[in-house]
Amino acid sequence: MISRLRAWMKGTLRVFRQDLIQLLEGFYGLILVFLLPTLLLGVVGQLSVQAPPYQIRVSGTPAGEERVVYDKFVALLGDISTVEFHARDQLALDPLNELREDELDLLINLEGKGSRGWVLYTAADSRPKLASVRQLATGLERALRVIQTWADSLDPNRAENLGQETIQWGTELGALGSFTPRQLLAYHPAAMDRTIDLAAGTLILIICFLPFVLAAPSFIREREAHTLEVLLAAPGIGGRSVLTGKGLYVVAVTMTELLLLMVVIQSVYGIQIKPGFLGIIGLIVPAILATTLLGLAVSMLLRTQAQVGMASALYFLAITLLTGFLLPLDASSGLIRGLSQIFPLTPVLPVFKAWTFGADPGSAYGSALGLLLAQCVVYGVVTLGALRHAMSRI
Amino acid sequence: MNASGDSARELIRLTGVKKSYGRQLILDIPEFVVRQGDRIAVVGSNGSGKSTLLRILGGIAPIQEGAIRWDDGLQEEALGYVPQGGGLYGELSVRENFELRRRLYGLPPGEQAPTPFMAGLGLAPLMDKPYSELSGGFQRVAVLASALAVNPTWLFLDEPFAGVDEAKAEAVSKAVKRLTDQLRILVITAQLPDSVPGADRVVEVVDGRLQERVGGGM
Repeated sequence: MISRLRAWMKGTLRVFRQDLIQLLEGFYGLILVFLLPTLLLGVVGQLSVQAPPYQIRVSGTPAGEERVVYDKFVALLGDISTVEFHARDQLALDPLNELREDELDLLINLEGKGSRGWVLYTAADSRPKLASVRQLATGLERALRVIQTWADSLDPNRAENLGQETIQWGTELGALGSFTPRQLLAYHPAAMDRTIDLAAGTLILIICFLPFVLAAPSFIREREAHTLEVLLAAPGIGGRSVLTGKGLYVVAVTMTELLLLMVVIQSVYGIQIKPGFLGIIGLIVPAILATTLLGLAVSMLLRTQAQVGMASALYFLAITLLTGFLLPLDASSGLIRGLSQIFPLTPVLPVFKAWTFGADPGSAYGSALGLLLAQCVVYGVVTLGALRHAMSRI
Repeated sequence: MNASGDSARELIRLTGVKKSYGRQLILDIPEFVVRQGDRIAVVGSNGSGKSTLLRILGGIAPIQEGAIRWDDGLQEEALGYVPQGGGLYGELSVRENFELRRRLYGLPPGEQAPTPFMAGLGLAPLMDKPYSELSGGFQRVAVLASALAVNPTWLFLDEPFAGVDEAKAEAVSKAVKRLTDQLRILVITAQLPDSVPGADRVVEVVDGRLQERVGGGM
C-alpha cells in the first residue's frame, strides 16, 4: 500500500515537473499565463468607472402615505449620483482602511438575507463587527447620523465641490422623522471606489478562470500528440498520476499568478494585505481546485483543441454573466441563482471583495467554503469518471 | 522462439483478455505469453488491433476483462515506447523532448548528443530544431531516438517504419538491431512481417484474435 502510494506520488511529481518545464521553456506560455493577466489587472483601473464620492442607491417604491416621504427623500438625493452596487453578501467596504482610521461607521443593508434589518460596520472596536442597527438605533435617523458624520469629515475641497446643499442633505432628511426606505446602501466614498471594486473582481475572475484554460487542453493536447501513451509507458505513471500531476501543475501555476496579482493590487491600487489573508487563501485554494477539476473533466470528455477553445470561451462568458461578477444575482430568477452555484467564482467573489475592502465576511465565509468543498467533491467524482472513460479509449 | 527456448522466463502473460472500444470488441485473447528475450513481430491489417495489443502489453491501456501479469519488477524498468504517430511535443526542440523524456523516466537529462544507437540516423544537426518543423521521416526517427534515450530494457515500436524512406528505415533497423542484445523484450508492429528487423516470433492479429505463425522468424 505504502509502496503504491509512493509510486503514485513519484509519478505525480514527474508529470507535474514535465508540465512545469514545458511552461517555463515556452516564451509565449509564460507571457500568456503570467504577464498578460498581470498587465490586465494593472490597467483595468484605467477604465472610466470612478464613482462619485456619495454612493447611495435607493430602490423599491413604498405604497400609500410613505410614498410622499419616499419621493422627497429621493428628490433630496437627486443631486447625488447613484451607483448600482448591491451584491447581497457585500458586507462592508473599506479598501483603504479609512473607516477604521477615522473611526467612522458604515451602514449597509443586508436586504434579502432573511431579515430586513440594518447592519452596522463599525470601527469603534478593536476589530470590525457587524451588528444589527435595530439594536443600536432605529430607522433612518441613525443612518443619517452615520452618513452625516462621514460627510462632515470630508476634506474642504471635496465638500466645496459637492456644494452646500449636498452637505446639508442629511440634516434635511433627519427632519423628515422616522422613515425606513425599502433599500438604502450607504458606502464610505473611498470604499465604494468602483475602480477598486473592479480590480478586486477582476483579480478573482482571473484566478477562477486561469485554472480552467490551463486544465482544459491538458489531456487533449497529450492525446492529439500521442504523448499521453508515452507518459503512461513511463515506469510508475498511470492514469491517476497523470491526472494529479496535471492538477498539481495547474494549482501551482495559478497560485503563483495569484501572488503576482496581489502585488499588482497592492502596488497599483493601494489595497493592502489585511488580516485574514490565510483565511482567504483557504477559500481561494478550493476554488482553484474545483475549477481545475472541472477543466480536467472537460479535457477528458472533449475530443479536439477546437472544442476546448469553444468550451473555454463559453466558460468565461458563463462566469462573467452568472456569478454576480458583471450583474447582480439578487434580482435574478431562481434558475439563474441555482445555475450560479455550479461556478466556483460565485461563492468566492463576494467574500474576496469583502475581504479586499476590509470587511469581516462573517457567516458568508462558512457558506462559501461549504459550497466550494461540495463543488470539489462533485467535480472530483466527475473527473474520476471522465478519467476512466478516457483511459478506456486508449 | 528465441534462443532461450520455451523454458525461458515468462515476463508477460495475458489470460482471457478482452479489449473493447465502446461496444466494439477489438481484441479477444484467451492466452498469450511473452518470454525473456522474445523479439516479436505483430502483424496484421489496418485496424486489426496491433497497436492496442502493444499498449496492453506495455500496461498503457486498461482492459475490460481478463488478467495481465507482468514479471516482478518489469514495470519498474524502462519501457521504450514509440506510438504509431506523434509521440513528442511539437513546440519543443528534439533536445528538449529528449530531456523531458529522460526526466520522466527518473533519469538525469544528461548529455543530449546522439547516443551510439542513434549513429547514422542523421539526427545530430536537427537536435535544436522544434520537433514540429522536422520532416515526417525525421519526426519518426526522432521519436524512435527518444525512446532509445531512456535506456530501455523492453522496447515496443508501433509501425516505426511508416512514412520513413528506405535509407532512414535501414538506419532505424540498424539502430534497433544494435540495441537488441540489451533488451529483455522487443515488440514491433508492422503490416508485413518482412519489414521487422530481428524478429524471432511472428504474431498475426486477425479479427481480434492472435495467431502465432510457426517458423515465422525473420
